[in-house]
Amino acid sequence: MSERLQAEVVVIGSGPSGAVVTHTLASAGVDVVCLEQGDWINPSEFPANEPEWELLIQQRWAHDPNVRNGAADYPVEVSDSDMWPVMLSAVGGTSLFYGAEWVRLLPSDFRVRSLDGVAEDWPISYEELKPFHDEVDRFLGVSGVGGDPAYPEGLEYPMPPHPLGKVGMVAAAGMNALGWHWWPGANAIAVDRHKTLERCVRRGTCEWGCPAGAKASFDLIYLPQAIAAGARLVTGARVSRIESGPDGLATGAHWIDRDGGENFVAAKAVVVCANGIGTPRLLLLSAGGAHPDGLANSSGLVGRNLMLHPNCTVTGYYEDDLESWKGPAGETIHSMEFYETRPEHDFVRGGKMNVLPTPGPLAAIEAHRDQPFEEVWGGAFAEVAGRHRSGILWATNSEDLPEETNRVVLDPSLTDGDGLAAPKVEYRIGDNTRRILDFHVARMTEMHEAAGAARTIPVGLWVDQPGHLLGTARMGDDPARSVVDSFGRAHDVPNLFVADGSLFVTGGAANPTATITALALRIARHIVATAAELPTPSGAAA
Amino acid sequence: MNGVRELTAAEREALVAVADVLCGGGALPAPSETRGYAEWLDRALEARADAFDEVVAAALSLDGLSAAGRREALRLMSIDQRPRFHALSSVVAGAWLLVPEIRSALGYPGQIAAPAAFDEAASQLETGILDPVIERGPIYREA
Repeated sequence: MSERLQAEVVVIGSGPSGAVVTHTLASAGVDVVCLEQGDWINPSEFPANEPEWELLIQQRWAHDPNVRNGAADYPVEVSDSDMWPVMLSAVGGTSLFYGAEWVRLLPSDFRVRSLDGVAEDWPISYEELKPFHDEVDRFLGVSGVGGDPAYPEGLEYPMPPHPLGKVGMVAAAGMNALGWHWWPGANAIAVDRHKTLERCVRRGTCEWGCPAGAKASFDLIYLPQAIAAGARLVTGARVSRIESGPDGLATGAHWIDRDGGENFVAAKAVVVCANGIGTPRLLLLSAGGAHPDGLANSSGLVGRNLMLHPNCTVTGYYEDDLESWKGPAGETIHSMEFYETRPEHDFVRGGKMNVLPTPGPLAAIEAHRDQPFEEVWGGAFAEVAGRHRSGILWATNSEDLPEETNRVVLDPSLTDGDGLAAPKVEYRIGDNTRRILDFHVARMTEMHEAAGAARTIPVGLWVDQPGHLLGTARMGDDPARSVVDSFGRAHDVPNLFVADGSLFVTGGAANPTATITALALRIARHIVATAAELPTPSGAAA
Repeated sequence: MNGVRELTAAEREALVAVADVLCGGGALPAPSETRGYAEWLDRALEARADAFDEVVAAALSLDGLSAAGRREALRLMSIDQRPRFHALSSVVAGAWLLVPEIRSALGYPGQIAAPAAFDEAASQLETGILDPVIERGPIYREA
């Protein structure tokens, strides 16, 4: 049955950015509708509630939508990509699967052109964003230790840190032996009950849904408060097109419900929060009279400059029992030692390293799969599986500089379940990023050796991690070189905003969700502050 | 079970034979000697219902081989048919790892609730482990 709604603002996507925008607008008295193609997922449904969770995450709860193939998922064509972007369509978005590592970009990330002569500077600074970071941190109850010397003074956390655990203590001792920076992890995982979050009980499966409801996925925090403030959330609503009128202004959004019904919400403003793949896909799907190449795409940059933060890892196995099944995961500690450009390196920028535990005996087997057969299977099997208690995973997010050839386009033949063109990702890892990855594999191996690892297993690239989808509708002051301005407002369409990871001018190397939400809060505040100045669309939607 | 059919006796036998090659031979009882393995195998197959046909077919393809022949065939499968071997080995070995007796022997309690003591984080930091980092001072780059 078709439905026609009216709102002041429609927000597309209920992940971290959509939740923050929806909450901020609703709390300010704005009539807001949030459209989400996925459904609510109760923490009692997550795989970690079952003993066979390690098998369930291989397909039914896989990170990769092409593997999971759920009712709310759309396929992503990746045959011309070095990596497979991962995401989840659900209320709260991919935050149900993230590790909640709550790390900010560094001040230098906003000025890479000025400092390092590469890419472009952001139109805002760390200092401008900091108050919004601080506000989001307080809302979420982020845990951590203030005073990290990798950051300017003033970075504090509202909640105390999680324990380092045996995993963190051993890894930290190794870093001290090398004299390298490390700091206790910052995580959006509640150490104690906080608003609508429960206390973390270290179940350790944060990246496949927190069964305790302690991780700050945005279905559990921000969205409940947004709904309480009056926001309307529509689930099972796959947006097919942002409508625009003859004057080029956005007039609302069409969505398809689970029964195939076509619906429309008319609005004075549209905020797209569909992630770095879904947002450009939707803008390209919304081409029309005044926007023949896609909505907000006069620059030709919608979909371009995709950055995916390629990850490399080295897992170390130790002689001692480290209780490595225990969470949170979540970063235990992180290191910014090699985050910045150094003259002795053969690359610019760098990586952010962090430690995670290694829960699950089947995961230990998975880590060893590329070892010789006889060293994993048969008589060796139980010993290898038993290493799950003594593992430490060092992982690196690499800075992934923007390249226009890395992009999201509409696939000419692949479609989703509603017949909408699927996104195609064309992405190649650049030489600079390759060198960052190689360098960090070597350093993380040294770090394990310094900490006393008995054996190490490097992985030069995780092709299906992480879900950091960045840069495809980037912000900037120059309409010819960017899609939106520093407040996320489309240069071409003054009542259209983007508020997700698509905004990133450069990727930095820090986990992006903290920055995404700070940007989203800043954008939402701007929308509230300038609501009276919003142009009124002259065209009625179809 | 939901979603997948019951195994025939021959199919079950073939899967257990594969499991014995992949998991047996160590200090712990092989899957065929592990009480309850059959029930956990069903549960593992249900968890990977998407791969049920592939897993069963892969196991049956090794039927009639000696234990040594089966081991060599699996070794070759792990090289030449990686997705197939991944599904097969995940299910039959994953099932063995679900058996409580085996989990206990491996020291795996499952992803249980293990709330931290109120002073655990503070106690660890009070060891002074963070002091060298603090003493080194700021490392951030002025921008």
